[in-house]
This record gives sequence, structure tokens and C-alpha cells, in this order.
Amino acid sequence: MIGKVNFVVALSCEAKPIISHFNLRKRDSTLFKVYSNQDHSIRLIISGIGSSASLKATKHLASVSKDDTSTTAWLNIGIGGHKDLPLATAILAQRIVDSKTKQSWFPQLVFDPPCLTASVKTVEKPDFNYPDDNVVEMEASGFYSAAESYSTREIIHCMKIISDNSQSLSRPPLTETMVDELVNRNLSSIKELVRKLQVLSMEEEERTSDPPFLQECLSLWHFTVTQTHQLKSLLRKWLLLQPGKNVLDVLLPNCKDSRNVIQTLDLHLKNTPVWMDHD
Amino acid sequence: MIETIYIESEIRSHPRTESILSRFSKARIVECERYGEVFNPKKQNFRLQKKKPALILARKHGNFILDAPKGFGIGGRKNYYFSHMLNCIYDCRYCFLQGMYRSANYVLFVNYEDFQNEINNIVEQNPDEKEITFFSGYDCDSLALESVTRFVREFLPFFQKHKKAVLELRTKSINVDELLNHEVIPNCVVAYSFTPENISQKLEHGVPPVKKRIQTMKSLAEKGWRVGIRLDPLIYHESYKKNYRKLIQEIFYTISAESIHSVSTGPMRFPEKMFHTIERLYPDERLFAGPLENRNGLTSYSEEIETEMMNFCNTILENHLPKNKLFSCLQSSF
Ligand code: SF4
Repeated sequence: MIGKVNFVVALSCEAKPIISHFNLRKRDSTLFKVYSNQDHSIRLIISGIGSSASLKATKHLASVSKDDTSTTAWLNIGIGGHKDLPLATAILAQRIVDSKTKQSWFPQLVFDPPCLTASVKTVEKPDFNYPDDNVVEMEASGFYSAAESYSTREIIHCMKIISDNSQSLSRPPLTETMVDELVNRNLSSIKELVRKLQVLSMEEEERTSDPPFLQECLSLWHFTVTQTHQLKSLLRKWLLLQPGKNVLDVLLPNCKDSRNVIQTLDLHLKNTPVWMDHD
Repeated sequence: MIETIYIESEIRSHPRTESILSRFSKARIVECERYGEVFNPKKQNFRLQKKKPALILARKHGNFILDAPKGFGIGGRKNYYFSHMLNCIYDCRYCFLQGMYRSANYVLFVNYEDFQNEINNIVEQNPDEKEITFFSGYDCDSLALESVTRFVREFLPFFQKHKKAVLELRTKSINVDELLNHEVIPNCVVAYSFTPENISQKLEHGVPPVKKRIQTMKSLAEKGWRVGIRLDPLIYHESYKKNYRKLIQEIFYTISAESIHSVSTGPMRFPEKMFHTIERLYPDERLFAGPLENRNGLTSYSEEIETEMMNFCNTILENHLPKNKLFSCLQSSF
């Protein structure tokens, strides 16, 4: 198994270093530009600027990721401003607040972050006043609210790189090259974060994966949806109580239909001793 | 140990918040409006959060003291429970908290005085009751996070003044300095939960070994504290008779029967929905592959197994203790 990570990035210049580092190739450019690596374990979408664009792009990426997205990690990378954090500092969001709706999200940090953490405020228009300690940016809330429909808070994160602060206001406007450079300088943190998210995503894939023999059973007999759930649960128990044994050979060769399979498995497992204290 | 602390803005300068923060100068502090914003959202994964739980400091706004669920008790007529904290630093695979809450973060309600006022009210409203029991370790372990919560330090003096109110501290912690350094109060029972050592090693992650817990009970008993034993939940397995006999013998070999206030036994039961949540979180757990069935909305061992195990343990316990110290906890609601 291999953990999956979906990137949502507002601008091509922010995405460029990521696309190049992870060897991503363009797969689609109808509604949004979508990139992925060879085994599609890393995908990236360019959303355009703003919370609502980010929300739409996140949904679009989920819809084109054909596999189950519930175990996929989601990562929004972009630039933001802060009153006094030095330029090029990367931060991971510990809280995201939408300045318009006042709704908050709290990404759960279940790993050691590869960089500082800070609270992030999503605004509708560029705002170079920094009245509080938030990192100010324009996409995180849209991204987070959409990604939460697919995954859980431990594997949905936003990393922001400081491109402006109160000392940089007199400086000429940011160019694409400068943004590319800001992301490039933080590539090692991005890589580390991706590695950590891949591990968590993989753990979740393992936890939610089908038990052995499920597909074989489904192809041999017809199961209703409820029966399929029962079968999954019984086959998991089989794996725990009869590790290494082929259920199709040992127990089910004479079963005629799905009901018979479920009854046979259920009865057998109920009578199987549970050696809690042995491996 | 705790790297992130969420704090409700309202209690940012509560003295208990400040005291905790002074002990976690390196923690990441994140403010929120209500703890539910962090603790309650649907899209959270208890199993992943167990890797690095955060602390959430909050104020509780009501329902400070609740009626204990039916079947939960140690002999008293009136039983209540209260939860100054939600969740636990240990990770027992049979724990119902993992199916009850979406988040594994620890919530600590800092307004202890409100819990105490409510206990006081209940005692005053029941002048005819000789004793009223208040269970503190229902949604957490009463002692395990004492270094952060100072719960025992703050509640013992309160119960010392309210002699009709009996406090049960339910725990698996060996962190008992606060009790050993405090004058013994007769209306407090320190109740230790056990499963046999080999089962504990498989299912009670992060919990001190059985031997250490027994030794800790011994030191408390020698100091004069009333101690209780909770064989709850009873875990069914092939060699359960041998293992529970050994556990009970070990306890009574180390601790004198006179110092034991009560022993309770209880079967492993979960509301059906809660069980499915837990089973989905840990599909690789052999405990859940055992002979469990659904009865009256609960997932449990069969009635036959439950009775057989309870009878077996009670028969051995009766060799050590009079029957009036033995209780069955047949919880049917959570
Ligand atoms: S010690 Fe108690 S509260 Fe803590 S995890 Fe174990 S069963 Fe749950």
C-alpha cells in the first residue's frame, strides 16, 4: 500500500517547484489543471485565487480521483502575510478562520510538524494590514471545508509561506519568480510533511482495506449490500482467528449461496477458541 | 507529552488555566470559542489522534453531576457520576470512550467549583441519605493525569468536609503521591481496575503493569486508604479461568482482605452502534473477533458466557471476602 496525497495550490508559480520535485505530469486541463505522478499517489490541482475557487478545485480533484478519497491526505500550499514573521518562513495551520463567516477549523497535529505552526485567517481580498497574530491568506477556508467532506482532520493540512510582512510593504510587488523561489526554499519542509501524511494515509488505507478472500467470495456468490458488510466483518474475524488459512478451501467449498456462506462462517467463528494471550 | 493546548477564550485567564500553562511553557497554544469546535466535529479519527492527543481547557456549563447509569454502583442507594475530564492517557482496547467520542483529545473542565457546588446541593437535598456515592472516573482515569489536573489535590479537601458524600476514584494509575501525602479520608475509595496480566499486556496500552498496580494499592491500603477492586470488564478468552484465578490470588496475597472496601465484577458491554464504531477503528483487534452477540441493543458476550465468568470470579472472591463486599456491575446504558 502507498499513501495518497492531494495538493491544492492557487497559482501555477506556487505549484511549479512541487510539480517538478514529485515528477507530476499534466493529466487534465478542462476545468482545472490537474497533475499527478505515475502511480497517481500524488495529485495536484491549480485552483486559482480565492476561497471559493479553492473549494471548487478541491471538489473537482476529489471527483477525478477515482479511488476512495477517505484515506487520502489533502494539502493546501500557498503564500500568506503576517505582521512580523520573516519572509520565506513556512507555517502549518493550527487554526483556520474564515473572516467572512467566522467559522473555524482546527487541523489536528498528530505528528511533529516540519515547521512552525500558526493560526491562519482567510480573507476575501488581499489585506496588508496585520492587526493580529494570524497569517492572512485567501484560500485555506474554502479548501478545508471542501476537503473535510472526504477525509479527516488529521490528514488535511494547510502550509503557508510568508511572502509579506509589515516591513515588506514598501517593496515592489511579488513576481512569479519570487513566489516560485519562496516555495522552492521550503521544499524540504514540504517533502517531510508529505512523507508524514503518506504514512498516515497508508495506515488508514490498511485499516479500511478489504479483508482477504472478499473479492473471491463476491465473484462466486451473489451478496446483497447488507450481506456484503456481514461478509467483510466475518472475513476479518477469520483472518484474526485463523491466520494464514484459505477460507475458501477450508470452510466454504460446499456452500451453495451467500446465506449459506454467512451462516457457515458465523457458526464456525463462534465456536473458534479465542486465544487472547497467544499470537 | 502534551504539545498542543486548545483554550476557550473565556477561560484564558482562569487561575487553573494559568497554572496549567505555566507548567507547559513550550506547548502550542490555540484559542477557540467553545471546546466543541475542536472536540465534536464529525471528520475526526480517534485512532490517529491517539498518536498525539492535545489538551483542551474548557468551562462546563451545566449537567455537572449526573445519575450513574443503571447497574453501576458499589452498594449505595444513590449513585452519581461526574466528569471533570473527558478521555484518558491510556489506551485500553475495550474502553467505551473510543466509541463515545470522535476525538481522542483530553478535555479538562477547569471550573471545579461548579462541580463541587452541585455535589453540595445534592447532599443538602438528600438529608435522609446516610451516604451518596459520586464516581469520578467514568469518562477518564481519575488519577492518571493528576500532574496536569490537580484534581485529587483539589477535591480531597472538599470531600473531607462533606462526609456523607463518598468519592470513588477509579484508576489504573500508580501516580498516587497526592493520596499518600494527604491525610486519609474515610469517605474516599480508590478503586483499581484489572484484567489478568497477559490480557492487560495485549489490551491495556500504556497502562502500568498489574504487579505495579497491586503494589500501589498495597501502599495506599497500608496508609489507611480504602481500596476497591474492579474486575470490569471481564475479558473472555480460552484460559480465562486460570488467568483470573491467578490475578485474584495475587491481589489477595499482597493486600489484606480487611483493607478492601469492595470488589465489583462486570461484563464487557457496548451499545451496538458504539461497538461498530470501535470495531471499525480497530478491525485488527482480536478482542472483537470473540464470541460477541447483539442483545437488547447491546453487543456483549452471550448471557451464558457472562454468567459463567461472573460466577467463576465471584466464587473465588467469596473465599477472600464476605458477600456484602462483592458487587456486580450490569450496566445496560452508557
Ligand atoms: S484506563 Fe479506563 S478510561 Fe483509560 S483507556 Fe483504559 S478503560 Fe478507558
